[in-house]
Amino acid sequence: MNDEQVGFNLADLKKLCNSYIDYTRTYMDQRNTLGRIDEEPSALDYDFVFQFSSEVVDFSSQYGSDISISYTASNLIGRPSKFPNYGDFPQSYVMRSYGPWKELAPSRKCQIMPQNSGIIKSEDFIILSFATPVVPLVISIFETYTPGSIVRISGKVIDLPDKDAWRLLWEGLPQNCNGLRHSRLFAPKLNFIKERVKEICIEFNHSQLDYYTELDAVSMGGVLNYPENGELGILSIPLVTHTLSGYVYDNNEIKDQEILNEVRMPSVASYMPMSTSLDPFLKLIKNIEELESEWRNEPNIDYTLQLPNETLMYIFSFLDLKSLRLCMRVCKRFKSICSDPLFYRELNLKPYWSSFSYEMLTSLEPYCTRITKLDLSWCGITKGIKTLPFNIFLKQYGCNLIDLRLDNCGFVDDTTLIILNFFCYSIKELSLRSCTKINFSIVVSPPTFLCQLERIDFYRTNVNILFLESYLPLMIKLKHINLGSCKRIDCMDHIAYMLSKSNKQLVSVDFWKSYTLSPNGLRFLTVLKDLEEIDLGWCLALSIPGDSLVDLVKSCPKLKKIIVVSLRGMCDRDLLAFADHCPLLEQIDLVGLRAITVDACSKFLEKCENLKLMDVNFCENIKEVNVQEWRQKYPNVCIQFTTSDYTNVYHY
Amino acid sequence: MQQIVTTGRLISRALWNGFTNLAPSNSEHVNKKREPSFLYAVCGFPKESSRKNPPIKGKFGDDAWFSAKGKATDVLGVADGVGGWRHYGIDPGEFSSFLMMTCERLVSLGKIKPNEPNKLLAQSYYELLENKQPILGSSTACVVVLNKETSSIYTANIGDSGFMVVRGGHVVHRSEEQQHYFNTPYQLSVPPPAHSGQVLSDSPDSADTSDFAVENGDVILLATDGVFDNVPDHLLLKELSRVEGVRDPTKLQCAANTIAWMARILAFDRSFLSPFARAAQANGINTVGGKPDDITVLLATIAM
Repeated sequence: MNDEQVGFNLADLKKLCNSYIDYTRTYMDQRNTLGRIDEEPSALDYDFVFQFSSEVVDFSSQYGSDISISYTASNLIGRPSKFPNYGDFPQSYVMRSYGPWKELAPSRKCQIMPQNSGIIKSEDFIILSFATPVVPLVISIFETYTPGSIVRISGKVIDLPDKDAWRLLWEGLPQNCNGLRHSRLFAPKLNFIKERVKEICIEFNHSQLDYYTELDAVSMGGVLNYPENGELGILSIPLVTHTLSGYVYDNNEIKDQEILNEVRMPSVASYMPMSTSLDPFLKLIKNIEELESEWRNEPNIDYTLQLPNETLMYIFSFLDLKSLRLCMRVCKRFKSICSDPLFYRELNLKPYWSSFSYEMLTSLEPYCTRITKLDLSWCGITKGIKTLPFNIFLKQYGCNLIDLRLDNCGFVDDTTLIILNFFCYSIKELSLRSCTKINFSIVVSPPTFLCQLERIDFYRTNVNILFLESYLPLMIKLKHINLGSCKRIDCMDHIAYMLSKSNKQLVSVDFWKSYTLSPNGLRFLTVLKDLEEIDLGWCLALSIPGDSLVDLVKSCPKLKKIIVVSLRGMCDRDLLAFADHCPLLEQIDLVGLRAITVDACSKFLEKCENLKLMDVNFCENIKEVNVQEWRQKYPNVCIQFTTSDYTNVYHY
Repeated sequence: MQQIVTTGRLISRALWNGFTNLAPSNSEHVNKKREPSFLYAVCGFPKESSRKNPPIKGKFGDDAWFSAKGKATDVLGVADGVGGWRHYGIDPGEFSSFLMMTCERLVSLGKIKPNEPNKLLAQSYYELLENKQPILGSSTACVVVLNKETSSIYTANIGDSGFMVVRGGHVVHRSEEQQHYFNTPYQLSVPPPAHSGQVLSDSPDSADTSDFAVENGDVILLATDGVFDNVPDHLLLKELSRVEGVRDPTKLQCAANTIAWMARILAFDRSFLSPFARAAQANGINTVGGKPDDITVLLATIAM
């Protein structure tokens, strides 16, 4: 977008923007004074529509469970319920991770083709739908806790096939706004598009956050139609008086400006390219054939002839997929080098999810003969591929696959599992996060695959007891298993028993939100001597753990990460047992434990020399003073604690 | 004189509460399809009104209430936090207020089918356990769901809060009080882990449910035990029959104020033989007088 394209009446635009800001302000003010306003957001001038999201289409992770409404994605629907209050509220949308802690845990996954993700990596996404399609002018996100993780906003143009429909609206680096102790209305300047948008996708990167980010609502403002006379032209002027990180609504604006200036940006901030990840990928491929005929006529003036192929290959190995494609277009030699299947042994197509299609996969097929790692996460969003073609691809090229990631892939179903069973016999890591289409009905054939499997991720899938019962005994090498938020498993104790029988070398196990895991089930796990990480967050049946936690830590001395969020009955004895028996402990999450006392925590901190993270939010006995003291005494430990006396003047 | 000053303050507070709540419900009743909806007014008094705590919407002392709109439903509800938790350093109002707030969210998010009010209570109760902040305590609760499509009402009740439907000068439906024994109602509770087992805790499934059809002009009174324990039925009935078919929000608000006021006065009347005192006498406790308690009155008429 360049300046010549500005055919827009600036005065009109400013008026429009001001009316939007005014609207938002009046909206907030009315909320504060009257308690609530009831008329629907009205149309302003120019058929301007201001609306809140009406539906959650898809998302990658959430803190709450699917059967609940606390900390779940559905809280983004409709008008804000807590904004402008600042704090950790169950009425908001929270994701599963923050900061570097996931990457420091024993269960971390290695990255596939990291150069492909570009500078702005996204870790989570959510797709929201709005009632009325509009040409988007302003998208504002109501962040109520630890803001700053939004890195990309894209819009899906209506009436286009999904794979061509996504347009990049905004992109920026993740910020660390931890000096900012109040909520934020984030309304970045959008790229202007002429088409109408009904769905938007927000991508997040939590790496800079000090704690979980929480979002209350998302609104989209825009005009109903792009005017035919072109009066409403291209927006290349700032929509809102932007601060570094967008428009911030607060009563005390001047102070905020100061804080915002101090916002710590990652070191790459000076160089901030707008990545083109949403460009149609295919364009690059199609031209190659045409170019080849041109090359025949060109004299060869390749200075890189001096370099041996091996050197070039080494250089090219740092390139991302798109650059490889571009190199192919340079000359024949480059093309032959770049076509080497070695470059395509590890493929990460997740950054290209917005334009993913069957054609993209087939265009890569000629080079995929030695493919070992494939990341197709999020690629199901565009519905660009059907189950059958994907299964055929797997059948053809899957024999060498050792790592397959299919998070949020709607095209994966039970037949894919059958193909995996027959043809992908060397697979070691399989990730099926949020693949809700799979029913895990028992495969007719005798289970043969998965015997090499070391890691399997069933987060938020429909995996059931029968499936696990028949497959777990075969996964003799299994090291990592994630059973978080699997709502179909109605007796987690039995699964714990299965794990203890056949998967004794487990390193990490995730039972997040497993409501049926009881102390009896936990006792089975005491045979897992190599266990380094255990996630028992929100296992409500464990809320009175008895001796089971003590038994577990006694027999698992290698534990490095323990999550016991909300096991309300956990007491000092359990905590001190952790300290006594797990000298390697690095991360511990104690959120919401009422009974934990200050003394026990002090002793715990003293004994655990390797501790890096301790989360004691919502522990009633622990006071700000204690935490200040600990922070001074143990500067290497990150102690998460927020006093609940936020300036929450607005009670709804 | 002191008495009058405080009561004046209470009334104005009640009116303020009432008007802010009426405003929304008032504007929406231009129905095209002639679907029924609730027209309601709220009034109530905390047991001990302290100057320190400003009135909070949706709360009267340990009582809490909510109103919400779903896709084809109007929902009203009251809950009464069990005061005994104060001895354990737990604010009983927090439990009931969270329960009601969650009900409101569940309805507005469209998570609830209109014919399953007990599920609404149950789900709301389970959300308490999903909160990072441990919310402890216990509460009685009563919700009334109006299914606009079928013009019928579905109710769920746990404990001694309740509802009463008046048509043509007669009580046509009313809730049944659920008690373990005298003055100990059924209750939803989340006890501190150390006390579980020693505390009365009824499953949300034990809710008493009912459903019935409603007609234009029906009056529904939804109130906590602070009202039913102090005001005899015939007085309630007299007040309720007056507002049958009333659509004027001011009149409705006046009636709600009257009932709440009546309950308030009778609660502090030491010689009055209140329904509570009668029940006590039936249980062999010789007492007279009202029962000072938090009072919440939700008065609704059906408007088609």
